Amino acid sequence: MRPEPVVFTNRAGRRLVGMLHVPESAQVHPVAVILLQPGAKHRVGPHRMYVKLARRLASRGHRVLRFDFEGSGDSEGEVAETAVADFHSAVQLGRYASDVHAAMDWMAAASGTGSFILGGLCGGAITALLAGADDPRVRGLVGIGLPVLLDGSGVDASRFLTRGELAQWREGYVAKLTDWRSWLRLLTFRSNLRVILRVLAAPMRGRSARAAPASVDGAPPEAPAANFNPRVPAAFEAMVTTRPMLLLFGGSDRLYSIYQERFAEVYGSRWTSHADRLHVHVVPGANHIFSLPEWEAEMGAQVDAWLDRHFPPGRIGPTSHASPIHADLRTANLTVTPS
Amino acid sequence: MTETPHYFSGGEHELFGVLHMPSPQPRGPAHVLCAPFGEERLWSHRVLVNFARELASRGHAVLRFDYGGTGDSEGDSRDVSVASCIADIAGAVARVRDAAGGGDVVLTGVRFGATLAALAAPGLPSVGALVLWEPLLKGGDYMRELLRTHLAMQMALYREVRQDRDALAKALREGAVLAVDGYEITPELYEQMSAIDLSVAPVAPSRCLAVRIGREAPPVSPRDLVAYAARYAEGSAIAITGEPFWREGPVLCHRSAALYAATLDWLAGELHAA
Repeated sequence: MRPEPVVFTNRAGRRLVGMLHVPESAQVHPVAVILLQPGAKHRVGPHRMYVKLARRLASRGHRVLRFDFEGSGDSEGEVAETAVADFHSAVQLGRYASDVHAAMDWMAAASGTGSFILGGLCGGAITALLAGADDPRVRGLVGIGLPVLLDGSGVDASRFLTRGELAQWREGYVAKLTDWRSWLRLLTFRSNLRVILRVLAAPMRGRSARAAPASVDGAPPEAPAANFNPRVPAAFEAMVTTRPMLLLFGGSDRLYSIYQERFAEVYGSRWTSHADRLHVHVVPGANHIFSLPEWEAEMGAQVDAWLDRHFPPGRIGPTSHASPIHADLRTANLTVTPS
Repeated sequence: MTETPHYFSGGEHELFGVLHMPSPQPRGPAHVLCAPFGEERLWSHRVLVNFARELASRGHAVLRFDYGGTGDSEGDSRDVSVASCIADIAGAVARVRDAAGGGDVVLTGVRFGATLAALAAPGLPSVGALVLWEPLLKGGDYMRELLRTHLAMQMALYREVRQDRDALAKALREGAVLAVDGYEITPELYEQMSAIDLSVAPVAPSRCLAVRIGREAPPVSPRDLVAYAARYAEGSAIAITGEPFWREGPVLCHRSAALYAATLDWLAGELHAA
C-alpha cells in the first residue's frame, strides 16, 4: 500500500510536506513511528532508506510519518546557513525539535495517535533525541549514526580526533604514501595538515586512551571543549532513564568511535542502572549510510528485534483499531506565499 | 500559488510528484523538471524546488516528479531502467498538460535527468523546448563514474580494490546487481545506460539550451556542449559560474541564481549564446 502525501503546519505557521504510511491491516499498533530527515537530505533518506524502513514498519502495524523540515525538501521556509557544516550544527543543537512536536500534534489530531517512536539517521537521530527527551508522548528512540559533536565551521577538527579516528585515518594516510595524487594534494595545500601531523605524531607521544575522570562529587565530568554538543548529555539521560533506545552504528562510521570515546566512556556511568533500556548495535564494516544491502538488512533486523522486545505486535488490542485520518486534516494542497 | 503533492500515472508505476500551479490560471508553456539519478537527486532537490517556485511565480504550471522506483514513487530500485524513466517522463508531460489545459511543455533536466529528457523529447510532440543542465552526453562515461564510486567504497571498506571496474562491468553483464551508494544498478540499467550517446541520438524539438556549471570564473566555454547543441535547429550552449549542487560539498545549495537567470532569459528569447 503506497503512502499518502500529507501537509501540516509547524508552530511557525509553515506548511510541511510528508508521507504517511498507514498499515493495510485494520489492527494498527497504538505507537506510531516518525522518521526524521537526516541533515540536508530530505524525507526519502539516502538510497530511499526511509522509504524502505517505513514500509517495513508499516508491515508490522505501525503508522509511519516521514516529513521534510522547514526549509528542506518540499516544505515551505528557508534556511539561512550557506555552509553545510553550519546547517548541521543548527540541526544538532535542536533547530527542528519544534517541527517534530508539530508533527506529533498533527498525528494526534488526525488519527488520535498519542504515542510515538522517533527515529532517524545522523541529523535525524540527534533531532529525535532532542525532541523526544522531555516529551512524554515519545515512548522510544531509534538512532542510526547518532552524532554527539557539532559540525560548525568554527571548529578545528584536528583537535578532537578520537583513538578510533586516529587509527582509521593513519591507515588511510599510510596507504596514500605511494599515491602521487595524494602528494600533489599535499603540495598544493589542499590537505588538512593539522590532521595529518596529529595522526602521524600520535603513536610517538604514546597517546593515552583514558576516559576523563569523574569529578569528586559525582557530577558529570567536564565536557570536552569546543565541538562537543552540550545538549546531548542531559537529553540522553532524560531519554535512557525512562524509555528504550536503540542505537545503530556502522562499524566503519567514525561517528561510532566518537560516540564511544567522547560520550559513552565519559557519561555512561550515569545510566548503568538503566542499561536494559539502551541497546547499541554495530553492523560490522558498514558505512554511515548502510549502503550495501546486507548492512541495511542487518539494520532492519535489529529494528525488528528491538520492536519485538519493547513494542511487540501482540500489544495491539481491541482498542487499537485503525482510526481514519480525518480528511479535513490531510490538507493536500500547499499554498505558497510568494516572497 | 498552490503546490500539490500527489500520485499520477507513469509508465508502469504510479509516480509521486508535486504540481506547482500559479494563480489565477497558468499561462505560457508548462514545465516538467527531470531529476538526476541516485544521491544526486537528493543533493539537487532544493535547487529544483526553488526553480519550480520561480517558474510558478512567473505564471507557469510546473511538475516535479520521482521516476518509478525512486523517491516516493511506487516500485523498487531494481525496476529502474532508461526505458522506464523515459516512459515516466511521458507520463509527467501528460499530467502537467492536463493540469495546464494543454499547450507546449518545456523539459528541464539535471545531469542524468537532462540526458533522459533529451532521449524522451523526440517521442513527445508537445515538448517545445529542452533545457539541459549539465547533461551527460555519453552514458558509458557516467557508468564509469558510478563504478568509480563503488571502487571508493571498496577502498574504504577493505583498504583495497577487490573488484576493479572491468570486473564490476563483467559481473553486471553476467547478471549481477551492483549497489552504488545504496542504489541498485541492474544489468538492464547498466546495458541501457552504457549504450547512450547523445551525439548520435535523435534530436527534437528545435530549441535546446545546454548548460555547463562550474566554479571557474569566468566560466570556461563548454566545447562538448557547443557541439551537441549545434545538432538542434535553435540550439545554444553556455557555461555559468556556480556550485555543482548535485554533489555533496561544503556549500549548502538551495538555489543557483545565475543558472536560473540564464535559463529564464533563454526561455524568454533574451539570451543568445554562441
